[in-house]
Amino acid sequence: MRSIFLKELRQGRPLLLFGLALGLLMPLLYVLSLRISRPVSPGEVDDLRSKLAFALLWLPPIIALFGGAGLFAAEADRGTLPLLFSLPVSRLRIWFAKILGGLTLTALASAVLLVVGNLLLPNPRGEPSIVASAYLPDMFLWTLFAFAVAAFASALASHTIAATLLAFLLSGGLAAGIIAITQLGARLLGYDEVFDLAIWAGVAALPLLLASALVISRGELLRSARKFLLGIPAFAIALALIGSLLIGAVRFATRYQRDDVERVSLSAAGQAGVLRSPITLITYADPAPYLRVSHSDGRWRRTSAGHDPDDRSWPAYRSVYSVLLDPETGRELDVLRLPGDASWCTTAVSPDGGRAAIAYRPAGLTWGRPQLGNQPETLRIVELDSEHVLYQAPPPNLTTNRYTAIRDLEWSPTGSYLAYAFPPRVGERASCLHIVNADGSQPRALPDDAADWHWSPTEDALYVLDRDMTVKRFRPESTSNETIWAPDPDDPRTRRTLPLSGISPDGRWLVLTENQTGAVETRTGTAVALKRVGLRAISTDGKHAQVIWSAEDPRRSDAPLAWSADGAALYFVVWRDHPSRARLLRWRPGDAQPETIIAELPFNSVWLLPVPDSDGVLVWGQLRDEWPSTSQVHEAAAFILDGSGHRKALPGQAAAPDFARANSPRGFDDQGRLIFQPADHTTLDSLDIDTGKVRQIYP
Amino acid sequence: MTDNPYAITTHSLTKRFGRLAALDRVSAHVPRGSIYGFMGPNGAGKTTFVHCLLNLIDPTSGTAAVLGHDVVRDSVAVRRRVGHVAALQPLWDWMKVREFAGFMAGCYPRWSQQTVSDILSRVGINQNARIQTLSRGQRALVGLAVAIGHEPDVLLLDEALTGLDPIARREVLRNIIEAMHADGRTVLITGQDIADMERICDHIGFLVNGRLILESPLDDLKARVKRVRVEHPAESPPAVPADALQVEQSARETLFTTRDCSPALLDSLDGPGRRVGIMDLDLENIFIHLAQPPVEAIR
Repeated sequence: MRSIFLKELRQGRPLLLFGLALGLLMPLLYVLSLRISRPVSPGEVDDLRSKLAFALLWLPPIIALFGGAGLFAAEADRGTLPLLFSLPVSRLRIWFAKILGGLTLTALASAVLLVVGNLLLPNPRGEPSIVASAYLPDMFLWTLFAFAVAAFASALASHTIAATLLAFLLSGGLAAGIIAITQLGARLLGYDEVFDLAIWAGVAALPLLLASALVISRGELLRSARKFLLGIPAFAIALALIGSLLIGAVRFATRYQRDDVERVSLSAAGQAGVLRSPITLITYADPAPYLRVSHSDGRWRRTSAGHDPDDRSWPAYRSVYSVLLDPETGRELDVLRLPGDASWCTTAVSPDGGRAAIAYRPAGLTWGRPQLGNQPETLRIVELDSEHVLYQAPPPNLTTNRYTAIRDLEWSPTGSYLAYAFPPRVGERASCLHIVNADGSQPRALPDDAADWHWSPTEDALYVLDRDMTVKRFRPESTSNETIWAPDPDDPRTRRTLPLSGISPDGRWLVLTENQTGAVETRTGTAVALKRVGLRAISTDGKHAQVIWSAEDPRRSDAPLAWSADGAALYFVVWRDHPSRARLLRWRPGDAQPETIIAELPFNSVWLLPVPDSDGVLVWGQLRDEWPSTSQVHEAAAFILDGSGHRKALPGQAAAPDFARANSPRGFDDQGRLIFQPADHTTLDSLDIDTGKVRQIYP
Repeated sequence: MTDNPYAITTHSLTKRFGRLAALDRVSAHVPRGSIYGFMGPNGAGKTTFVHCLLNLIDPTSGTAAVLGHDVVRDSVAVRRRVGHVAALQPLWDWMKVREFAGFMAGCYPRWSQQTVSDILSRVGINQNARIQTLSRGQRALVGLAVAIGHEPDVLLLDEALTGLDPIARREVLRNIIEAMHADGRTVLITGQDIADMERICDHIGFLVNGRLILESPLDDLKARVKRVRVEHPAESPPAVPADALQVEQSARETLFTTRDCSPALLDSLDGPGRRVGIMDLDLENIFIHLAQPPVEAIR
C-alpha cells in the first residue's frame, strides 16, 4: 500500500504546478484589473484586492476536483487499471492508498496555492488573507467535499476528462442540493440555519467516499454501467442514512423547550432604557458544568466551571437561544439558536414592534464553536407578525475576517432604517458604520470610522462620533456629512475615544463622555478605567458645546446617566473619594453647572432609568462586594425621583429593601411596566409601578 | 492442497456481459508444472478467462481456483502467487524501468531483484531508461521481467508474446518459460502463435465462442485428432461419426477430422470396397479444424 501511495504522490506532481498556477492567477487578475478598469479611488482598489485575496481561500476545492478526478479514471484512461488491480493488494487497500495520496497532494497543492497567493496578494491591510482563519475549517470541509465528489466521479468514469466534467457537474448539483436540504431542515426544525453548509458538505463527503470505495472494490473492471448501478444507489442510500441520523441528532440536540430554560436575560440591545414590545431575551439551558469557554491572551480556553454564585463568569450552556417574546401573551415570536456563548448576539426590535434585527453567528451543527469565533456575522431582519425573513446574509464587505463582529444594531426612530457597524479589526472600537433600509435593501457604508452614533428623534439625521472625536451629522439617504463639533487638537482632554453617552429625547442635545487626561488606569484583569472622565454637552445644531462635568477623580468610566423622558434634564452619577459614595446630579440644558440632587448614595452600583411619560428617573442602587465577588448585595434601595427632586417609593412589595437587594432593573416596557430580574437570572418579571402588581413574564 | 495435481481448475466457469456469454461453462484443468497453451480464435474468451483467474472481473457463475485458492474469495492470495503479463499492457510511462521494478517490489512480500535485473540485462534494456522511451516490444519485456520478480508459482501470459521480435521471443521462450517449467512452476499461455505453442506447450486447451471444446496433453491430442480419408463405392458411403469435423463428401470419397481416432472408429469405417487412410495433423491444422466450424457441427 505504501508503494501505491508513493506512486500517487509522484504521479500527481503536476497538481502542485496547478496549485502554483492558481496561486499566481489572483495576483495576475489583480494587476490586469487595475490596468483594464483603472479604479478611481483607493477604496475601490482595496475592495478589489480584498475580494481577490479572499477568493484565494476558495480555490482549494478546485484543486481537489482535479486531484480527485484523476485518481481512478486516469488509470482506466491509461490502461493501467488491470495492472494495478492484478497486484496482490485488495482493491479496498488500493482505493485507500490512492485516496490518501490524492488527499495529500491536494493538501500540498492547496498549501502552495495559499502561500504563493498570499505572499503576492495580501489583503488591503497587508495581511495574508489566511488570517481569516475562521474560514479555514469551511474551506477544508468544502475541499474534502470536492475531493470526495471527484473521487466518486473518477470511480464511475473511464476517462479523465469525463470524470472531471462529471465531478464539476456533481459538485454543483450536490452543493445546490445541500443548500436545499439546509433550507428544508431549517423549515422542519423551526430554526434558521441549524445546519451549517460546510458541515453538511463534509458529511456528504463520507457517503461519496464510501460509494467510490464500493465501486472500486466491487465494480466491474471494464463495464461502466454496473459501476453506475452500484455507485449512485450506494451514495444515495449512504447519504440518506447518514443524513437521517444527523437530522435526528440535531433535532434532539437543538430542540427548544421553554421548561428547560435555566437562565434568562435581556439581550444587550434591550437594556438601554425603554424596552419596546416585543422584547428580546437570551435563554440558557442545559449547562455544561465542566466546560467554560473564555477568551484570554488571544486564545480560546476551555476550563471547568460550576455554578458558584461568586463566580463572575457563567458556566457554558449547550442550549442558548435568542427569543423574541411578546410580553403581553408570553408567546415566543421567534426563536433563534445561538452558538454556545450568546454574549455577542445582538438584537433590536423596530420602534413599532413589527420587525426585529438580529446579528448572530449561525449555530450550525457545531454549537459552541468558540474556536471559530462566535462573533455575529450574519444580519437577519425578520417581520414578526408573518415571521417572514426580509434579509439574511452577512453584510457586504464583511468578508475578510469573521472575527470582525456586527454590533450596535440601532433602528431609526420610525423604523425606516437600521444602522449597524463592524470594526475593521478585532478589538477596535472604531467601526465601519452601515445603514440599511428596513427591508434589508440598499446597504451602504458611511465613509468615516464611527466610534458611536445616535439617530435623531425625527430620523432625519444620524449623529456620529468618529475616531478623531469629531461629531458629525449624516443624512440617511446620503453619505455626505457636516461637522457639528470638533475637539481642540491641543486639548489633552480628548485623547481617547469614548462613546457618545446619549441624545436627548427632543433631539437637541448630545452628551459626550470624554477623557480629560488620556491616562488609563488598569483596574482589574482586562477591565480598564479612565481617570478623570467628564461629560460634555453639544447642541445638535452645532452652536453650543459645554463641559457639564469636569471630574476631579471619578472612579468609573461607565458612570450611569439618563435623560428624563421629556428631555428636560440629564441625570448622572459620579463617585468621589470612595467607591461606595456616589452623588446624583442633574443638568438642565441652559444651566451653567449641574446641580446635586442627592449628595450621597451609599452604593457602588447604580442604575438610572427614565420613567416613561414623566420628568423623573428610576434610581436603583446596590452596595455589593468588591469585584470579583460581586454577587453579595449588602444594601439596596429603589425609588423614583421626580422632576422636582422628590423621592417616591416603589409600590407594594417593591417598596421593601429586600426587593431592591434581590433584583435588578432592566428597563421599562412600552406599557410603562418595570422589567426586572432576580439576581440568579432565573426569571424575567414585570412590576406595575402604579399598582405594585408583579408578574412573571418568562419562562 | 499440495495433493491437488492441478494448478488451475475451473468448474462451469461462466461470464456473461449482458446477453453475450464470454465464457460458457468452462471446466478447465491446468496441471501443476505444465506449460498450458490456451488457444482460440479472436473473441473466444481467453482474456476473460485470465481476468476471471485474477478476479479482475467477477464470474457470473461457476468457480475457479488457482493453487487451491478460490479466485473470488481469496483473490489476494492468488495474485500473490501468480505472475501476469498481458498483451501490450500499458505501463506507467513516466516511470523509469528501475522505478517500475521498485514499485512492483513494494507490492509483493518477496522479490528477487536479481532475477529481474538478469532478464533486463539479457535483453539489453537499460534500467535507467524511462518507460515511455522504450519500444513496444521492450515494454512487453519489462512487463514480463517484473511479472516474475516475485518468483510466481503460476505465470499467466495473455498474448504476452505479441509484439516481440524473434530474438526476444526466443529469449522469453527459452530462458524464461522453460526455466520456470524446469523449476516445476506452471505457465498458462494464451495466444494464436501456434508454432510457439507447439514448440513449448505440453498441454493444450481450445476455447471457441466461450466454450472449452477440447483439453488435452499435446502429444495425446496429436495422437487422437486425425484427418480420416475413406475411399468407398458410390453406393455405400461410410457413416460419418456425429462429432466429426470438417466433413467433405464426394461420390467416392469422404474426408473428415475426428477428435478421437480410436481403433473402434477405424473398424466402423472399414468395409467391402473401402479404403481407410489416416493423416496426422499438426497443431495449426488441429486448431483450424477445431476452431473453424460452428460449435453445432463439432457435436
